[in-house]
Amino acid sequence: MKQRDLLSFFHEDLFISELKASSKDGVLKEMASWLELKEKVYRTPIVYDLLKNREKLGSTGIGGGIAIPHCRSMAVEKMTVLFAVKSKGVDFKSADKKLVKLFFMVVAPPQDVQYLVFLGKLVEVLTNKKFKNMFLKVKSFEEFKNVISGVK
Amino acid sequence: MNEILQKLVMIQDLDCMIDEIKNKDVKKVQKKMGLEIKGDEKLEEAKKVLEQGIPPKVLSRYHKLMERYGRAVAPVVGNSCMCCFVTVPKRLTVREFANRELRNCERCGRFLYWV
Repeated sequence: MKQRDLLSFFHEDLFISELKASSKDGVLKEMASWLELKEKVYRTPIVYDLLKNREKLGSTGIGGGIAIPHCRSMAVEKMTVLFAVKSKGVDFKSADKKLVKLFFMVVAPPQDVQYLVFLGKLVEVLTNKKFKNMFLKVKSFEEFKNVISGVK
Repeated sequence: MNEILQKLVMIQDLDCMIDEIKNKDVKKVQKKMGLEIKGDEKLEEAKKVLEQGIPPKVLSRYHKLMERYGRAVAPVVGNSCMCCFVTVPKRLTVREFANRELRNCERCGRFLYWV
């Protein structure tokens, strides 16, 4: 998967510039509700419960202030990626114990073949040392797009 | 949305997650992400709780369909069952209305869920 392919999964209406929630469950619920609001998911509880169950297996906080809550669910028609910022950070029980400021929620239907490839590529990009701090300073979707476009 | 249908969708999603975390490729990607997956029995527990709210006849049908096809609930997209691709009746094109009742595909018998 190339850089520009990665960017094609992000959309401006699937960007939350500042989350209201300040707890782990609250963030998952707010983001899942946003997906229903934008008509990407039919029935928030299906995705919310699944994401909570996924978190029981271990936090999806990958460290460095970034989390990628993800799951496969029938509630979406195609792979959907929601990006959200919480500038103060949320305790997401990440292994490095750092507060999480950037959230990338990935929900894909069971048959989606790009899901794992996308997750792998996303992590590769987000953990790029050169750009990591730039991602953490992102305030708008445009800024995010510019940063991600610059990662090679 | 029909409460039982919602639970069936959630159970199938959990079944999918249980299968996935046993998959080597998934483990590889998760490891690359720096994530560790532990305690899949927690998913089985969550499944059991959901199953308690489903009538035995429906649950039995769910398990039979899972055994037969590996998937018991089929998404309906663009008026077609996405598992066997048969067209569903036109009167069921409104999602909110269609998901109000538990319905089965006329061809493959899977439970239908309008995405």
